[in-house]
Amino acid sequence: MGRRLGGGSEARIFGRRVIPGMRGGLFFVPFSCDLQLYEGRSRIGIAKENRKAGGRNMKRRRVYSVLLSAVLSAGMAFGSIVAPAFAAETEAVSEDAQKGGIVEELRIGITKDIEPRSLASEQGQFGRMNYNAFCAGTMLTRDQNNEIQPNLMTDWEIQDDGSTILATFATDQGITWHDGEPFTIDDVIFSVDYMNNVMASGYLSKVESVEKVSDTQVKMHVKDKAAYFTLGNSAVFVRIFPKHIWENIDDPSNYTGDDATIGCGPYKLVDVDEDARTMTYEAVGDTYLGKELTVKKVVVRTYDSQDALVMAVTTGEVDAMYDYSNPISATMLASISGVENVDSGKSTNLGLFEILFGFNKQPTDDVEFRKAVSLSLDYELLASTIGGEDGEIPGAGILTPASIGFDDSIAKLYQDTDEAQAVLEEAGYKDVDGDGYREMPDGSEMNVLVTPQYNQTKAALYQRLSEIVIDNLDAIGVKCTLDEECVRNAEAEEKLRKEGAYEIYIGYATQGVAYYKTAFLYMFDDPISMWGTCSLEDFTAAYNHLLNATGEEDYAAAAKELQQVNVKELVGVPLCWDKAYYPYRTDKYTGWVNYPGWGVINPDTWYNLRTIEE
Amino acid sequence: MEKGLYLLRRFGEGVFIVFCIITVNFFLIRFMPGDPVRHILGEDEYFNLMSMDPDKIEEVRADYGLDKSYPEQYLAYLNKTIHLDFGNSYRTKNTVLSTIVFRAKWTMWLAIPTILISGILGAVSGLYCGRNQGGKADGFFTTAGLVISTIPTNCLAILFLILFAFKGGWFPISGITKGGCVGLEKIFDIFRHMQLPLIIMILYRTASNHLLMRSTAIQVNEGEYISTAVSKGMTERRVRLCHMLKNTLCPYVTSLCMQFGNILTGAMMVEIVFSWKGMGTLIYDSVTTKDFPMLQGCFLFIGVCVVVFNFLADLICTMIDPRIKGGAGREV
Repeated sequence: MGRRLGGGSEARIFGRRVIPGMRGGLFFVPFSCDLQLYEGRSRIGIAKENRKAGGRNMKRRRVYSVLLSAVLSAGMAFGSIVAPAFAAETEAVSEDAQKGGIVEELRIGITKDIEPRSLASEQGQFGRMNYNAFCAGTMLTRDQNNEIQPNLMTDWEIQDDGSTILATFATDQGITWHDGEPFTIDDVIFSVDYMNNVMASGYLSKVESVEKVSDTQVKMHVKDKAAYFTLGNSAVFVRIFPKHIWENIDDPSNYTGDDATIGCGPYKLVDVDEDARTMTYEAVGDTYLGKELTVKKVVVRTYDSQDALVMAVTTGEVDAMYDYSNPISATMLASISGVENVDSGKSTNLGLFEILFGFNKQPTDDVEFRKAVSLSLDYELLASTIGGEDGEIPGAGILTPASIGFDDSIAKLYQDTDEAQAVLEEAGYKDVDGDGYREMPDGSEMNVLVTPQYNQTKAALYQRLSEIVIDNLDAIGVKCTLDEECVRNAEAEEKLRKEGAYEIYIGYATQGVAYYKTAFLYMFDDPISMWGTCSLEDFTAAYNHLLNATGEEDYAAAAKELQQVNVKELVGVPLCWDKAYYPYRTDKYTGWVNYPGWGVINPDTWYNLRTIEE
Repeated sequence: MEKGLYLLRRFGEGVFIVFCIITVNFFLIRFMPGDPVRHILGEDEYFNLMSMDPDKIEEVRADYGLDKSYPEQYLAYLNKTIHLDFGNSYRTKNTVLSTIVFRAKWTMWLAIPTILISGILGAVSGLYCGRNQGGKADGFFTTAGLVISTIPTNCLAILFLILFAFKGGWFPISGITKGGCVGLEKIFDIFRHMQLPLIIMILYRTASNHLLMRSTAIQVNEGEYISTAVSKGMTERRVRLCHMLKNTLCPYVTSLCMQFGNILTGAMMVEIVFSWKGMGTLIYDSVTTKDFPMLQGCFLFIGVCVVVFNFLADLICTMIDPRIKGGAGREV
């Protein structure tokens, strides 16, 4: 028998404790139970009730756990269910593509954004893709040997000792603008004038006037006998503008009309998906300039980083990557090495890291000092830092083996600290005060400023290179200081560069510059250069010879001459000859042509790529 | 009446704060070193015009009213702001407003589910653990919450990307959608692309919400009214839902609303890792390219959002807790 209990007491019935129920009722249980009372709080339960309650709680927990798991699993299942569909779609495209060897859809990844989209811009996805004679009709292109090839300009003849170019254009081959208007010689004449006088572009700056000869030919009158320079400088970059669209546009850089993307190239822009950041292009026909277009549709997708781009290539989301003058770094190789159906796209890089010496400052204006710097550097360390396993110690001529006119007789650079010290001693750079650092020949303090190029994406690499240079110079008694202001402040770096106030500047010669103007452009003290300070007579003469070369042979000879000048004067010091990596997939298509330092997406892609035949 | 006055006062404060933000935005570009036109046009364009066509720079200066006195410039700037004219992005040439609207939309796709789901999950787990402090569940969830909160967002995001997207192939690697889809197919594709970034954001928000709710619940749990409720014979469920939850909701909801304002900066790291083109990546791109018109627009947008959601938090709190009328309250 039991009796109602109040809180705060213990009751026993038949030797067994009983506990009031939650609502003050009585629960009598024939087995042991506990009453627990706390100051200000009470927890009331019976063992059985507890077990029942515990059982209910356990059940409830299980239900909640199952529900939560179900929600999370549903999310993952959703992805996995749709993923095969995505893969199936990929397979479906491949199956269709294999029917006739024609590539139905080529997917390219790029790290440039979908804006701006204008023929007048070289930025963004649209602008960069047009370097491949893609949507815009470019005058000339380059092939994998870096030689100029005809495009819309089908033929040319240099006349009057380099003062005239007689150019023939494909205006009689039925080429039309993507809005249907015919491509005419008036568009060519208009384009030259527009680029020089409205866009203020430098590519055709040597062209003084254009004279119409016929419906297919013009004569370009060029100053300074720079006909070959004009051709070389404009190849890849100069595109023809539709006169009927751009003649009324005074501000081309800000023009964003729908017709800003109208070109006369082999592909026309048909769709822009701003959410997916893709741009879709379709071939204008089965052929273009008499060559069969083997790729029907191209979808170019923007990725935010090279990491994402490499992952996309590896997983098959895209077939190849294109990133002008920006190959993937050696550190990413591990993620594509050994991956099935992915080729690293390795080739010799035309671009390179180099030291520029400031000729407006001491001691870098002294050839003996420059020689000592050259001898002090640990090129093996530099090569491995920049190029990883594929990094190569460079030659003293600077230009890479892939360059036109490369002089293979020039020896590689080497480190010899004893020789470096001897050179400095001989030149009068002695440690007068015994502090371990050398002074200038006049006895004043020597502290050389080392300035790395401002580059956000490669900041760590630049700083590491600076560190190596400073350490190496320190070992031969040359005190150096890292230009920290320029490391963190782009404006300060730009100012230093434009004033020519640097001493040792670590910079990068890009692919595009290396094509024609070469890495020596950065040393040339002339408005054409962005930051050159060298005005040595032999260097200036050699570089002008290069710029004003009358033909390919003359250009190659001038390039050789420049390299020899550099061996003697050490106007600049290359840090590494590295490889360029532009990975691409090999499981769907064949016929890829890998341009050195450029990759497999190039003017040849549209005419060579085919599906892999079974 | 009191409540109305309180809300009106808060609204007025919000408007004042927005006005201050607009004013700071005005002076921001003018106090930066160098010519303000340079920040408007962009460095490349500026130096290009300086050598080729310096008159154009003066035209732009006049266009933006930078040749006038500061008070005149300020009034013109206020006028433009009221008409939502924030200029054009120097990088893309599109209007700042259209770009922000486009990007904010995608941030909302992540932010709204994040706030809702993490809000519920954090509340449930925090409340339970706060009530059962020291228990196994508390040990597990709190430890997990602390661990997740201490891991940098970008680290976890990259880890998930590599494990589940790159290696596992269960999720897309990046982007909002693969393209080429319309209608329902596009919506499903977007859902597929947002799973991974959403999971990351929910994990982080849930962890911090859990910790917040738990600490509030522990405090509330020690209240005498809870003991009274229990000793009255109330079920555990009723104690939690009717007494604890109501008293923990106010600070919790305030925190959630403030998170909403902050999350519109787009959980920058997550957006960058997954290439989700929201406000976070917009700000990041604008900073790296020195797109000052866009940055100004973004700062204003974020400032206004924070103010709006703070006001919303106040509004919701007055609905939850009738004691809040701008004055003291009494025990329930």
